[in-house]
Amino acid sequence: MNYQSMLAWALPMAVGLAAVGSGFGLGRAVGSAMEAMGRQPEAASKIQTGMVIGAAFIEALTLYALLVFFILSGKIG
Amino acid sequence: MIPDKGQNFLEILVEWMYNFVYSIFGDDAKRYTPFVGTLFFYILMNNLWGLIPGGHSPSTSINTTAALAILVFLYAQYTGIRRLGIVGYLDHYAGEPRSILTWCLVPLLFPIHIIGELAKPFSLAVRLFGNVTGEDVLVAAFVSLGLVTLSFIHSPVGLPLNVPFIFLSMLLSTVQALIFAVLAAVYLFLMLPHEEHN
Repeated sequence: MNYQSMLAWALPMAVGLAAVGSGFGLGRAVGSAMEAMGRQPEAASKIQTGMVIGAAFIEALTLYALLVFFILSGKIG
Repeated sequence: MIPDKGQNFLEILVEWMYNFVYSIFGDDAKRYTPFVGTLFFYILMNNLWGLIPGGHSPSTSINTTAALAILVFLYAQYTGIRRLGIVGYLDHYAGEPRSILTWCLVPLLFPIHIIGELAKPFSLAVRLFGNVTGEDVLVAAFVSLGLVTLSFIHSPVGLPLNVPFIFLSMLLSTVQALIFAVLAAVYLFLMLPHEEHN
């Protein structure tokens, strides 16, 4: 089993797992934001701004996995 | 001295930026609005340029995003040294020791704080680069999918399957530019002397 087949198996798996984690995190964050907006509709725009900023932070962690994919994808074949 | 349309539009942008920076800084906003505002509009134009036919986003290169992140890092350190003084700057990194217990923790807190400070420009650069390159690759993948769909009649054009993703790209590019500017403002704010600790 050479490193190329291992990379070809591991890299998409890594991106997929990162996406799962990000799905969990974003689901919780947006869920809490929706609940807060329901409790106090006057503060909705502030909550929405905070939610977008928090979502970008969580998304950044997924993108680190994508970055590793880009760096290593040239080594396959 | 009635402002015409162009000046009015620019005033809307500047005032929006000033209110936005004011919500983070408070009264220091006037000093830091030019920097944060320039970052936001520059990165916004960088990101959106790739969506114009024949254009290419500079943010798809890690060199551009790393340069901007290093700029934010150096400006934050300079602001810290200028506003806090050298002693206050080192004090800020040592976690502001006041009692015997916190003095003993300084050899632990100092490297942790330095690593945290170095992680900030790294994450800024990678976040912007990854998001913009990811959107580009997404649009490219759907363009090639559209071409493949019509390949059985050897057509030179494909189905415009990438149009919804162009809109997604516009939204995410704006959000990423805003995130970069907000984080730059927050990192600058953290370097300023914060008085109230209770």
